Amino acid sequence: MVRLAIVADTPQGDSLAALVPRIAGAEVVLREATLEQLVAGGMADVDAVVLLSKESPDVCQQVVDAGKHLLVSLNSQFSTEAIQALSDQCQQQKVCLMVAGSDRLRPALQATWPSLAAGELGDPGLVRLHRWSSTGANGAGLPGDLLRDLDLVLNVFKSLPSEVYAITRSVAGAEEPDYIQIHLGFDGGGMAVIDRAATLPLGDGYFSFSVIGSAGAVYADDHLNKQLVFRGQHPVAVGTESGDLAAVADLQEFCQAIEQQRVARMSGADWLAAVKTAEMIRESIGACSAVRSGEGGAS
Amino acid sequence: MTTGSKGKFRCAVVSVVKHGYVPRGVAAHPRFELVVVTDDADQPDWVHERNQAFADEFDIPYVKDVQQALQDYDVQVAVVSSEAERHCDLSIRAAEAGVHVVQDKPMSTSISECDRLVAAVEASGVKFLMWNRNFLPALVHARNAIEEGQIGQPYAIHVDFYFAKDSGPPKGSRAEGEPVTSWLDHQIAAHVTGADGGVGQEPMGELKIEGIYPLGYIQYLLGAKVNRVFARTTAHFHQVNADHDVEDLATVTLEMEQDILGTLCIGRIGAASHPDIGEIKIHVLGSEGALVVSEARPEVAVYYRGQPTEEFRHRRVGMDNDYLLMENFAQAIDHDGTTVLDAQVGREISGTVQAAIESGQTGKPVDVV
Repeated sequence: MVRLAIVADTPQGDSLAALVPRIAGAEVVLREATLEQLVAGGMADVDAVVLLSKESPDVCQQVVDAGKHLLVSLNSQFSTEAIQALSDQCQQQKVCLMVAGSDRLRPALQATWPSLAAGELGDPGLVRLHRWSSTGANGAGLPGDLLRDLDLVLNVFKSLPSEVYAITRSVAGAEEPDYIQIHLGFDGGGMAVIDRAATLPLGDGYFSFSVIGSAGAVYADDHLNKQLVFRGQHPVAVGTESGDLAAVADLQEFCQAIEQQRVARMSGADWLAAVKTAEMIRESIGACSAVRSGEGGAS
Repeated sequence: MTTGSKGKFRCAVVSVVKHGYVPRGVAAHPRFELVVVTDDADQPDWVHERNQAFADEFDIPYVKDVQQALQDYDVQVAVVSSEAERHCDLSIRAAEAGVHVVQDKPMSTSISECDRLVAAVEASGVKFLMWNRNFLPALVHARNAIEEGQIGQPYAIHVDFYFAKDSGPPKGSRAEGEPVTSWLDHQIAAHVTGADGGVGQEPMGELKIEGIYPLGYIQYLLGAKVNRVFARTTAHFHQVNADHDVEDLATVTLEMEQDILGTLCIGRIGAASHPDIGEIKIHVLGSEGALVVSEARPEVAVYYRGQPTEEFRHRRVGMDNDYLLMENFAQAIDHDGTTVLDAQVGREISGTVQAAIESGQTGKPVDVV
């Protein structure tokens, strides 16, 4: 049984805690708003910490130093050096580091990975991703959750891109861009194209993820999963929600990785790769040109 | 030049070695009548055989002399569907004879030939239509929505254009020492399945073969020229593409007029990768909203016991593209207007394709000339 402490000063922590009874081999033993409160109360009965707010490198290191496994959200606030240091520290302490909140275990995408791993799709040639929303938290010129998209792409090609060309626009006239399109190239000919817009009217967003392989393809597209609601004039297309299943899958994977003493499916190395790719994207935008690995700061 | 005066246009099929659907599409309009098939006498036997077969099917003569056929049969329209490298030459000869032209894709394998065609069309004052799919129901719907301002000012467009067709054996299937199949032989053999869009002596990648469709959509929907591209290209699926060093998968970043951005993902991804002809979608983002359009719809699903595996389960319905294209062409002739995809636009698209190929080879953004 993995004994979890959930640290969050938002309602998200309560929501996550409510899901834990669904997880085989896990229980919540502590629910705190901050790590300081958790430390003050003592962590002896805790095996693993789920850190959902105020995740700084220092706070993460404190958890790992205490010999606790760590589930931390995929965020863009950590530098590559900080992620590398945290990963190294986890390895030394023999604890599991997993990043949560990627889209890998989103139900619509879960079908992709077994087919890819089994070779049913052949060699991946193209990943195509559209993600549109009505809001977009931007940070340093890039959407705050861009790492989610990059992680999906990198999980297909299992390597960093060798080439990046990215362009942004500020459609609404704000200082920060609300639109970005990213073109990635990989050694061996693989490629990926991402477009992200934060310009939709208020309401549901749109997500589409396709993998085109040499022997097959996967299409996970919101467009294909809409239901119709009729209320006069044109019907409304409504997405078929999958609830909290992605969060459940994240928790389940974290606990299983701990029990099986293996690397989690979204590890520190994956996080590091996504952040490095984001750095190349930022570099390409700044240079208004294509950036190749080895030429710039990323490698 | 005779315009038909809202009567029938007499059409010469000027080579029909590639897509019979082009002259068939022309003949689908009641104002266009196929009266003769013609080609140059010095063409190889397989060309004459295909031309003759089409002439026999339509019960019209086959004349092995293009100039003579255009004159003797009082032709007003030439319908060109030869090998790609002969497209422009045949179209130019027709234009110089004062005959309007409907031409198959691609415009040409060379930009200089495209320029020659644009000049010939302009000098002769004839109308020119590159065959395209801009009047598919989904495209017409999308254009109406954009024109009505439903999504505000468009600022980005993305076309995913995956053709789920094969092109011979998969990449990696040729044994070491096994001879390379010539491009033309491969294309001739592929005629049976209709996967011979690249028929000709010169190997062509997917951008050249099919690029006119998605780039035509972008032009039709937004009317913006492409200024600069960045592309990745590779032969990922098919041995024949790898052997001849032409891409079957490409991604292109598009920087266009009016500060519009876009991307094109295009590939001949293999028959196993989609239950029908392929996943083809158009995504348009505007200042007030967005469109996600499936090019194939409307369609109807048909399944039955014993259904052949190669038969498409989803059948497109409400297709009026052929009629609308030819109506557009007829209107352009009648009223001295422009066609939905004229020689100048065809040339611009060819320029975009050429720049994308160059970018794929150099790894650098390339200005479209």
